[in-house]
Amino acid sequence: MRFSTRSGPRGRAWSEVTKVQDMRNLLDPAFVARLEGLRLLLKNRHRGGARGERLGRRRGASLEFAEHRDYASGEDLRHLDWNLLARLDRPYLKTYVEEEDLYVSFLLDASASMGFGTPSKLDRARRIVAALAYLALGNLDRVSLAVFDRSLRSLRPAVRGKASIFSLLARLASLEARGETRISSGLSTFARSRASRPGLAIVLSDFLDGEGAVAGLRSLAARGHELLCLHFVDEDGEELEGDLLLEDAETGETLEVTVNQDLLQRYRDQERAHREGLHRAATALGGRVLLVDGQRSLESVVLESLRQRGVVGP
Amino acid sequence: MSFLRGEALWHLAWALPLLVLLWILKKKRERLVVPSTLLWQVALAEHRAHTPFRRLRRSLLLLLQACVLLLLVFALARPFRDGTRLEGMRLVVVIDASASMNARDVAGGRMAAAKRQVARWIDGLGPGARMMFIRAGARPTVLSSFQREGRRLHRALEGLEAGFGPGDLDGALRLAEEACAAPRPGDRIVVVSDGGGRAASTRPVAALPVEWILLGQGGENLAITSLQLRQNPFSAIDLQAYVRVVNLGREARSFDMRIEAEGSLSDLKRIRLDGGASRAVVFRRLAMESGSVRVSLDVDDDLPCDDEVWAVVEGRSRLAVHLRGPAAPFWEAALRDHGLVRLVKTPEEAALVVSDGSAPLSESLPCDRLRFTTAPVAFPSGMAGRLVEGPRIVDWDRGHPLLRFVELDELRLRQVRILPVPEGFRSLVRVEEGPIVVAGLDGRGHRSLTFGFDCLQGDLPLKAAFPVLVQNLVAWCLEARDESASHRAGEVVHLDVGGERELRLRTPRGKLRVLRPAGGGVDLGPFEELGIWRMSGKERQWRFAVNLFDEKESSLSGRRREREKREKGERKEGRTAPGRATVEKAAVSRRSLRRETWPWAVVLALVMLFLEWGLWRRRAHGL
Repeated sequence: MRFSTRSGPRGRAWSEVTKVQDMRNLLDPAFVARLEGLRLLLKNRHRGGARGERLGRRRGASLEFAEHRDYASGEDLRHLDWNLLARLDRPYLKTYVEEEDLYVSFLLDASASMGFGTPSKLDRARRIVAALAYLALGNLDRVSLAVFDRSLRSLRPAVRGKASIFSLLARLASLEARGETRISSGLSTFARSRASRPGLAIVLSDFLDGEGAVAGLRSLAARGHELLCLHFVDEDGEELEGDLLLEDAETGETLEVTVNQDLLQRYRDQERAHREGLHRAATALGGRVLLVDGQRSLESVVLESLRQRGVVGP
Repeated sequence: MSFLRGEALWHLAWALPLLVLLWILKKKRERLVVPSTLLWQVALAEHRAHTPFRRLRRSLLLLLQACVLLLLVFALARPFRDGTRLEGMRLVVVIDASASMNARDVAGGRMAAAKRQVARWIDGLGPGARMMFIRAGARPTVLSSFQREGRRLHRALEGLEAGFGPGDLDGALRLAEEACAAPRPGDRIVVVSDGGGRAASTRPVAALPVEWILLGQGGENLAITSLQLRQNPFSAIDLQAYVRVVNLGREARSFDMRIEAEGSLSDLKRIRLDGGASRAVVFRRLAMESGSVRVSLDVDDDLPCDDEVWAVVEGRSRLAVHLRGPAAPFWEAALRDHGLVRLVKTPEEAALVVSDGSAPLSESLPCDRLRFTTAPVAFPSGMAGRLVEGPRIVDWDRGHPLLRFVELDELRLRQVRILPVPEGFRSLVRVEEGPIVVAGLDGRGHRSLTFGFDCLQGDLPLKAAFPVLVQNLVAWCLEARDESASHRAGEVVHLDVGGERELRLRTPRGKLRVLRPAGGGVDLGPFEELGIWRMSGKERQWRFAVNLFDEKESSLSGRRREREKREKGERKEGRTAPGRATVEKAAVSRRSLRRETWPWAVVLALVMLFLEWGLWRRRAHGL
C-alpha cells in the first residue's frame, strides 16, 4: 500500500492520517507490502451482500461451476449445456456459484485490562485488526468494527473498499482502554444489531470476565458467524513475588496475596484452565482460537499463526 | 488482688503473646495494579483450601476476641479482693507453722504470705468483730486471745514464725473449738496453711464454718530424709554414714554433699539427682570416736531447713564379757582381738556372761546371758526338756541377727536337750524333736540365749560358723545398749536422767531452759529447732540431734495437691455430719468472706463480645 498526497477524497484521508501519527504505527507500510496477495479464508461459505470476489452460497454468474439441473421452460438458453443435450437428448442447465463479498466483523475488547502489557494488548489487537481489515477490504469484503467493554461501546457499520481503511484506522487509533469487561453483553448486543450479518466474526479480547464469554460467542454463532477468537494473554504472574496488594484495573477491587511457588503454580493452573475452557467453548461452536502473547510480533501472528490455522492465505 | 486459682493465669502464657502478635503484625504490602484479579481469586481460594493455616492479619475483630479471651482466662483464675469489713463476728485464725511454711516458693516465703493475708483481715476488722490467733506448730499455741485492737493483733502476728516440725492442725482446731465454746452466727475458723496437717480436714470440727486458705505454689526442693551412723565392729573410731537424699522437684539437680565431723570437713561428694528420684550416699572411714556430724547440701532450693542434718556419736564403751566353763578357751580365742569387747574376770562386772557346761548361772545377775549346756541344773526352772541322742538339725532361723551367715547343716552333736520356748523368746534352731536354741528377753529386759547342747559335745568350735556366731552375738548385745541420739522434729521423748535434780537444756539456737526431772526422767519436746541439742546435769551430759526427716514436709507441691484432692473427694462423697461443719460448708463460707471479682470480668467479656458481634454484623451486612 502506498499513501499519496494528491488532492481529492483520498488526499484528504491521507492528511487525516498524517495528523495522527499513531495511525502509521497501526499499519506499517513495510508490513502492508507483505500482506499483498493474501486474503482471509473461511471454513464455510457465507451469504454475502453484493457481488464480490468470494464464492457464495447462491447460484449466479461466475466461472465456478456449481451443478447441472433440469431445464425449465422459459429459462435463459445461454446457460443450456449443449454438449449434454447432444449426448443425452435432454436439456440441462449449467449453474455457477455466485461470487459475493464477505462480512468480516471485528469485535474488539477495549476494557481497562486490555491496556496492560508492553506493548499493550489493545495496541497489539488494533494492529491485528488493521492488518486483517486491510486484507478484507482489499478483497472487496465488508468490514465492521464493534468496540465493547462493559457493553457495546461503539459499532461502526460495515464498510467496503480499500479507501475505508483510513477511517477504520482513525477509529482504532482513537481507542482507549477503559472500563470493565462484559464480553457476553457486548457480543450479544452486536449479534442482535442490524449491522450483524453472517460472516467472519473476529473477537479480540483477553477474555478476563468473571461471567464468561460463552453466551456471547453462542449468540454470534447462532447469528451465523464463523468465530475466530484471538485470545490475548500476558504473563503478569511470572514476576510477582512476596506480599502484595493486587488491585483490579477494571473494578478497583483489592486482593491481599502472598505469592509463593504454590500460589504461583495454582495461578498458572487457573490460567491454563481458563484458556482451555475458552478453547472448548469456541471449538464446540465451530470456531477457532488463537493465543496471542506479548512475545510474538504482529508479523508472526498474521503471517505465521493465522496462516497456519487457515485464517489467512493466498 | 489475689487469685483462688492462680494457675489458670498460665493460660496467659499463650493468650498474651497471641495478643501482642496481633498488635505487632503490620504487614506492609506492595500495591500492584493488575489487569484482573479474577484468576488470582480462584487460585488464592484453592491455595487457602489446601493450606492448614492462614497468615494472621491485623483485625479489630480479632483484637476484641483476644480481649474476650483474656478476660475469660482472668475470670477462670477467680480473682478476689480481701479487706472486707468483718462486723459483729469472731474469727479464729489458725496459722500453720509446720516446717514447710518456711518454703520460699512465694514472694517472701509462705509464712510471710500468710502473715500478709492475716494482716489484711486485721485491718478489715469492723465494729464488734474480734479475732484470735492459734499457731499450729508441733504443739498448738494461742498467740492471741480474742482481741478487737488491731495494734495488739499486729504485734502478736509479728512474732509468729514457722517451726521446723510438722504442724498439729488437729490440735489447733480443737483449741479453736474450745475458744468458740458458744458459737454465734458469723463466727468462723480460718486455717491458713499450705495443705499440711495431720488429716485435719477429715475430722469435723465444731459447729463452725472452717475455711482453708491454701498457700504455696510448689517449688524445687532437695531434702535429706535419713542419716544413720554405723560403727565398724573391729574399729572403735571407724564410722560409716548412710545418707538418703531425695529430689522432690521436677528438674534434675547436681550439687555437692558435704559431711563435717566436729565442724571440720571430712568428705565431699558430687551428686546428680533426677526430678523425683532419691539416692543413698555412703561416707566411709569417718575417723571419729565421738562428737557431732553434720551433713549438708550445697544447693539453693525453696526449703533450706531440710538441706542439713546432724547426728551425734557417743563414745561407745566396750562390751564386758565374762567367760566360764570348759569351752572358755575357744571363746577367749574368738573374742580376744575384738575391738568392741573386753574380757572381765567376774560376772558382776560383765555385761555378758558366757556359761558352758554344768555350772549354774544366776538369774539375778544384771547382764545378758549365753548358755551352752545339757545339764538340768544350769537351766532356769522349767527350761530343761528331754534329752535326745544323736540329733539331726532340720532348720534354723537364718533371718535372726544371731544366725546371720551361720551355716549349721553339717554341725554334729552327741546329745541335745529339747527346750521349751517361753513367752518373749523364739526358737532359733530345731532338731526333729523340737527346738534346741532359744533367744529372747527375760523378765528384767536382759537378753538371754540358750543352747540346749554342750559346746564341747559337738564340733561347733571347730566350724567356720563359730567365729561368725561370736561376732553376731557381740553385735546383738551391743545393739541393746545403743541409745539413739537422734530425734525427729516434733517428737516428744522421755529420757532417764538418773538422780539428776536440775537439768539445763540448750537449744541449737542457744536458748537455755532449766528442767526439773521427776521420777528419774524428763520429757523433752516437741522439738521445733533443728540441730544439736545439749543437756547437762551435775553428773552427766547429753547431746542429741534433731532433724526434720519428713518427706511430706519437704514435698512442697504434693501437700497442697493432697489437700485439694482430699477436699474434692470429701465433697464428692457428701461426707457430712449433722450439726458439724464440713468442708462443703467451709467452701460456702469462703466465698462469703472473700469478694470475688470474676463476675466483673465475665460481664466485661460479654460486653466486648457483643461489641465484636455488632462490628461483625456491620462489616458483613452493612447494618
